[in-house]
Amino acid sequence: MFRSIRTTLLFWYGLIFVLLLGAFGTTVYIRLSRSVFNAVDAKLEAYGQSLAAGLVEMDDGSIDLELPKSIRLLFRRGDDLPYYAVWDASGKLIHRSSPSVKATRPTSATSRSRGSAREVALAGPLGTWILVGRTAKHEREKLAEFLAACLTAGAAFMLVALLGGWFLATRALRPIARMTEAASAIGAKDLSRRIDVSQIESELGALARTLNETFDRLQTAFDHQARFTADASHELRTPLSLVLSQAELALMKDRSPQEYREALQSVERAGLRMKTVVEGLLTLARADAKQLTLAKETVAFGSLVEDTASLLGPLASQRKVAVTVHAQPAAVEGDRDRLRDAVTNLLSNAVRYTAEGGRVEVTVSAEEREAVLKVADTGIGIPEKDRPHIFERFYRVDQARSRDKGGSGLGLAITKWIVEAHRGTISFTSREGQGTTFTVRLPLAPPPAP
Amino acid sequence: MRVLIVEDEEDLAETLRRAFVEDGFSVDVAHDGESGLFNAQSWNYDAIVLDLMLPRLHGFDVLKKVRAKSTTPVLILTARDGLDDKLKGLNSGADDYLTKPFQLTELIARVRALVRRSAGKPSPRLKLGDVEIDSAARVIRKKGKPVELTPKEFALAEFLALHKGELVTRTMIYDHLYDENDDTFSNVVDVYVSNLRRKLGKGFIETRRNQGYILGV
Repeated sequence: MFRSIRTTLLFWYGLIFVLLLGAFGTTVYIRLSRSVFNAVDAKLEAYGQSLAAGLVEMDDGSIDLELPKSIRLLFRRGDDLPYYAVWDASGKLIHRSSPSVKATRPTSATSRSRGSAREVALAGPLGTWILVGRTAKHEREKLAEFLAACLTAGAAFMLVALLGGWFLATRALRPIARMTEAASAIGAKDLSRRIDVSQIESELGALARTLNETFDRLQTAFDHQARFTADASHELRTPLSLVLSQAELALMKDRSPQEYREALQSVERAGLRMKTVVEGLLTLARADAKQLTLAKETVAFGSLVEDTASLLGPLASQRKVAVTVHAQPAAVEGDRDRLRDAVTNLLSNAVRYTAEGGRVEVTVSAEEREAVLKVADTGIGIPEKDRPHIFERFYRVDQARSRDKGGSGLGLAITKWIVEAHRGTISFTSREGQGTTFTVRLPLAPPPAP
Repeated sequence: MRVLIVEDEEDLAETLRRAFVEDGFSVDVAHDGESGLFNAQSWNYDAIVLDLMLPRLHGFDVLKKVRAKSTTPVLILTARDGLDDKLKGLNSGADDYLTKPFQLTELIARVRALVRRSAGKPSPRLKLGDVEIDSAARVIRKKGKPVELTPKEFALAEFLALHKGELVTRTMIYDHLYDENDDTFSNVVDVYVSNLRRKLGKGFIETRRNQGYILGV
């Protein structure tokens, strides 16, 4: 309804206050006026009783009214003084205090207001009806004065209450203002600042803590992004500086064809490395943006692993690493090329990190619901402290040692993404100096429809 | 002058080595932090070009250990271009910091400047009588005319000029003009010295028998 919480609070607070004050004032006024009129009525009734006592039946059957002087004096003529009227059983007006009294015969004992007057009707002896009345102007004026006083006081209370409400609302909202100030100060520039929870009342403290936790996550994401960017630029800068300095050196003076060839070969190697990094980055960027669609075909996983292993033969024999493959047939559903990438990454890592004369054992088995690929090497193993990080992008166990063995630093990150995109899992066990075993589990393809 | 290049990227290290050699330096190369540190502690280099992301021993650790014992100028050459890294490098005792990618000419000019400054001779030009040595333009002029010199001859003249007025021993000359793969015989230095004398004037280099050589006394 209102844009400011304070105004909204104040509005409802004021509304409730007005209703309560109104209800209270009305009750008091009704009770007061009732008791005032009851007092008037009681007096009129007493007069009526006196009149009834004075009604006497004459011999001729008419009814006479004999009043003691003290009573008679009460009903002297005058606007403010009481008046009466008496009817006999036939309904004929037989007595009245003054001819100016105009009234109709009552039919039940009652008290009522007529104009500004108050009247009481009662049944007298001999079937008569007696009406006693008196103007209540004075009482009504008093009540009106009381009402006016009530309204004035009510308005004053209302003002005080609204001021108090405004003060309370401001006080209650102050921590929110503080939190807003702190939160807006925590921009992209200074994500390390936090809302001071100690100064915030308990109900808002939970909100402040939630905000702080969100900022924590945001900062982690930012740091992650910043580190990733720095890593990516580092991975590209090194081969780039190689390309540039090779070219610069080659161009400094005339060279022999052999020297030009060597320079170009070295430039080519650097270019290929940049290509690997850029392709890896592109794959991950597309995967992050969910722009990569995976083919859905039935892939003979066992023979895919066998093929991949045979392609790595040259690398393995160059590094004098024995690769053995035991593959059972196992069909999985997914993208053949991506799965081949994942397997290639795992196998080439295993070969690269295994010393000369080492072994890499590759097995594929079909379990009840899963195809299980195990790649076990007798390589250098993964140090304990690096284990939680090896699937992170650009994470290298030994910053540069792995680089000169080739690879972009993205292989395991991409492999993990591919496996998980196929609803599979990847895990590893490692003993430093003894070797590492990677295990990939992929759901088996549903059997072909009969 | 002799520089040590510690760079794990073998192709890049080779390119740097060639560039420095073509510019008259003698160059040693190490491909990891440990062997880089070993080299740095075994020889008295005129300057060290140090990468940071090194296998086995990080560049910062190499720098710290080198600095504990020697004042050899160190230039950090790295792909890490963050201000934090630069500050950390310079505050750990590096004399200069250059980020990859870089220009070879700039790198070499910076290394030369570092060497001159650490020898207390920041000007690239030195005049000795009618001979002017310009180490920036890599020429030596006699009476205003450039003198033809082989790279080693120039390097020797430049090295002696850097230590003008100081006794330079033969060992110093071997250490600074040859890298660890050169095998030279002591009389080769004598050949260069006599060549320089012939080209630049008899009194250009003074010989202290059985001790060494001295320039500009």
